[in-house]
Amino acid sequence: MKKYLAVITVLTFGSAVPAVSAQFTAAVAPPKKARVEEAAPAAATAKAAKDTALSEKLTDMKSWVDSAAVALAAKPPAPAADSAASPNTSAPSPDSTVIREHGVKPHAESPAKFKNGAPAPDTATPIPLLMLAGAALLAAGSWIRRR
Amino acid sequence: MILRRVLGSGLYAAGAGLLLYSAATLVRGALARDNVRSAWEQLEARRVVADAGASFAVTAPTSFVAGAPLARLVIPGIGLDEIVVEGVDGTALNAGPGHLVGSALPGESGNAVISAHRDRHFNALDRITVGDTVVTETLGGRVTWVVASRRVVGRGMPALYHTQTAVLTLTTCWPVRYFGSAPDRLLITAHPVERTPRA
Repeated sequence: MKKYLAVITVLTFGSAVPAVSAQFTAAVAPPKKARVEEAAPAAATAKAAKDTALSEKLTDMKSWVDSAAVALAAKPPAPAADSAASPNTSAPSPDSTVIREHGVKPHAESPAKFKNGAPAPDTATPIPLLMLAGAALLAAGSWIRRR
Repeated sequence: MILRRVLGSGLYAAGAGLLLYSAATLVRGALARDNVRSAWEQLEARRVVADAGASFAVTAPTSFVAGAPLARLVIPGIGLDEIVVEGVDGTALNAGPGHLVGSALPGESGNAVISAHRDRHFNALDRITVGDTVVTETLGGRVTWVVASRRVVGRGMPALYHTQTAVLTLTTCWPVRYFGSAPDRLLITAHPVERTPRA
């Protein structure tokens, strides 16, 4: 039994290391930050306001938003291939069917939206940390049981 | 003795649970990535068929539902070839690089922002240097970009701005190799050098 646990622990560490190994190096010496401030000239600001308004308008148009497939619906000669459809259409277009078939289901709208001066999207992920913690707990549990 | 056994088993179970959860998330991401690629390839195929029989120009879509594939992103220098999906929430970023909602589509006038996890699809983004080539393919056409700058900004600092011309901005967490929640963001900016519109 102990031998079995030891083997599992070793294998777990082996599988976790590639995913988390990259996490350690920078913890030793984080790279120097080179902060660059964006200069926003007055003209750009005015344009930005205009663009923001346009963006808002486009965002509102999401009620009739078309997916990538809907553009193909603009072609009348091939009615069987694609038909105009919004996500709420009762008879789904072939393309929206494709999206469902492949599991690419539309999910809740992303909270992050582009606007002038917005920070970069949050791309942090806890997976490497969870894998490391899991491997550590597994090893600790194995060690305690073996003592 | 019993207490030690219970404690050891508890830790063992907790560790196994965390590892299983992580593995399940990665597997789900891999499956979603495959699904998105299949969906993209079908869209491309349909597009080709539609173009072949069209008697007039077919317009490319301008907006997408969340999670839908909208572009292909290729960076030969770092061996990256991913399908970009709409949105930058957890579900979208698990499937592939995400297009920030509201930003321009790659190749259109304006700033097109694409983000991904540093330990997943953009794990080699730190190897990009100024002058590298980036290629995007949308249903509207193919654009070749050249990396013009790379910079690091703080997590909450203003970083994205509207532009009048077409710009491609790739973002991920920084440092790419870092233990814990990365404090900064890496921003790669590229400008278009060649456009090949669809027929």
